[in-house]
Amino acid sequence: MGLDRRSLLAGAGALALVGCAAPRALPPPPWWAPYVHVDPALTARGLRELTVVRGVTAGEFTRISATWRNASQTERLSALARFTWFDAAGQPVDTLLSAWEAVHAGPGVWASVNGTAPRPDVTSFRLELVAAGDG
Amino acid sequence: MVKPLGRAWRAHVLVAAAAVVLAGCQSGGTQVVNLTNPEYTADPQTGGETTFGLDYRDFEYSAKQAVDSFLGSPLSQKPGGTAPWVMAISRIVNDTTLNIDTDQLVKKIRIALLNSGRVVVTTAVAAGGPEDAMSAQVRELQDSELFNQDTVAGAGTMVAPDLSLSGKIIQRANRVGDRQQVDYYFQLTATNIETGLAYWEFEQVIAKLGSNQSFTW
Repeated sequence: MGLDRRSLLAGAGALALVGCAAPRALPPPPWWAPYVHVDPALTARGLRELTVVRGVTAGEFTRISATWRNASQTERLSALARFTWFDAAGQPVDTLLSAWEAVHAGPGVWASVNGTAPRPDVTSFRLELVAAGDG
Repeated sequence: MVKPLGRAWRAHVLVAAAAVVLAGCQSGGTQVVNLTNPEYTADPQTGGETTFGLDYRDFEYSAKQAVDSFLGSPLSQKPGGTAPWVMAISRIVNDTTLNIDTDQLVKKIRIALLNSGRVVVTTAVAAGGPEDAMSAQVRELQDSELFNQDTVAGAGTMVAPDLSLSGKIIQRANRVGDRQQVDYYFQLTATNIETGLAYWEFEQVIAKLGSNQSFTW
């Protein structure tokens, strides 16, 4: 046999080292990442596990639901949320449904905010989550 | 050993203490908290101070919730086609001690529903008489020789409503220890006029807590 045991071990070691050095593949960003802005202050105060779900109401309006958890075990997490809706031309739709809304989560508790598109022809949205005054 | 304060020093201390007490009374005595949405404000950079009464933020918040609820309802789309619902505005009762024009709430809802493309409000029919009497009055021109009759609105062209929007704003006050809580209930119903059945129901409570010294009436 041409290969002895020492050569095999050396080859296996080299392969293992190459494997370790290769960069780990990061999970792809969620689909909603370009549409959602999260105030870093909220993350610093405990906002975790943010997920966004897109659906359609029975009346064929787009509906967005965002859910997150307050990882702080002692502090309440208060956020202000606002949806901005865009038409097919990329213009924001002037609507009452883009008003700011306060959302509170007690320590360790989940919170959510829902937004319904003001028109059936809305094609895109932006969700802003910013820290509210009292944290 | 602690030296006793002189007469002048004692006076200064008393004045300072009185000022602190007075300042405390002023800020604590008038502060009212909106329990429903404590930080609700049109601009997150500004404060969330509010009153025991209803201000524009309360109407905006309630109207937003109402429109969100209506558009989320399966009956936001009129069955059998793409034509919008025709809605008449019925009575919106102000059952509060406040001098409220209920259009502060209803107008915001009307604008949002009209822009949704699912509802058109008729101004020719309303509880207590039409909001705009011109639609009927202009028909009187049908006998006038002064007007080109081709431009006069004819008979049988107005559209009767499918839905009727009615509602109520209720106020309830309760004592909570040495403070007072005032709850406002915004209640709305859309009734299918053909059947008399309520197709959509909505309620939003706005609760405010503050000192007994701050009254709404």
